[in-house]
Amino acid sequence: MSRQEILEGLKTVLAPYTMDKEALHSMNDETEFIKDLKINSANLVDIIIDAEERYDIEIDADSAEKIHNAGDCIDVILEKMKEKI
Amino acid sequence: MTSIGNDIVALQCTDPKRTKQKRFYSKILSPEEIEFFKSNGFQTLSFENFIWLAWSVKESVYKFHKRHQRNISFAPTKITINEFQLPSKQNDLHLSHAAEGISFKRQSCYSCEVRHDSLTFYTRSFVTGKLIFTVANDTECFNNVHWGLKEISEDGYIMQSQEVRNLTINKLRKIFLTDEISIEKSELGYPVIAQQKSIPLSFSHHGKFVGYAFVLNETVA
Repeated sequence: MSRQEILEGLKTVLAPYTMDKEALHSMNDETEFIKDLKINSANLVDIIIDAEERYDIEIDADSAEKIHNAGDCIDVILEKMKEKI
Repeated sequence: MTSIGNDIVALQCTDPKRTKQKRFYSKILSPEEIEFFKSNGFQTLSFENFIWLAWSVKESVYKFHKRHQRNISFAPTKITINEFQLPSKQNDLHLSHAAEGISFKRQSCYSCEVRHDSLTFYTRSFVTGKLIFTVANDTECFNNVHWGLKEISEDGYIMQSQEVRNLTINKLRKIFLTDEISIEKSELGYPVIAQQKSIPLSFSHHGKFVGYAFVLNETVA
């Protein structure tokens, strides 16, 4: 799966948690979930779990800690998908 | 360290079913905290509310700490609650519209001692049927901590942002006896009082609730 495909999939994961659809549409690697998408921090665990379910992976605390923006999140998803193979 | 952190959880916006799933709460609570709750079985605090209280405590500590350590990440299971004290009497916070105060009565709030990055922090939290509101400090003394919270008519980021600013500005105008109060955003994203930049200020919002906390030393006022 390419980074671009995961970026598009991540938009679907994030959609229920942001009202700023324009910012979501133009999301790129640098986009920060709280600052740029105005997602409430109380939804961060929901997002991790939804991403785990979508990609059938487990995101542990050490990996979740590395996620500062969408690009970091894609890196973690790719890393976890590789670990499964 | 001069800073302040606060957080608010609108319980109506949480998913009680998901909150109680191990895969959810184990991303917030450390194994020791899970064991602590299970072995104590608090009659006045449900497991769901314990989870969101812990979240609120950890988020507040993170916000306090991030003001000085811009590169830290939020890793809830690594911010650990060492001491946990329940209120000795039922919460007397009546939230018909809004509540504000200075300091916290120990008997009506949850008090925690928290470790993060080998530093110790202290928190005070209110838990009502509708919300959890927490303020974090690096000392046990909250005497100079002003706090406020309000139920607003609509959620959504723009409304939350406007309402929390208005609530805080109204409070500051009364304290400083001037209308010349405005709030800016720092480069790191936390709020700053334009006319009193040394006063640490923290905002929080979730659903239809907004909250603020700031520290006002008597010498500043």
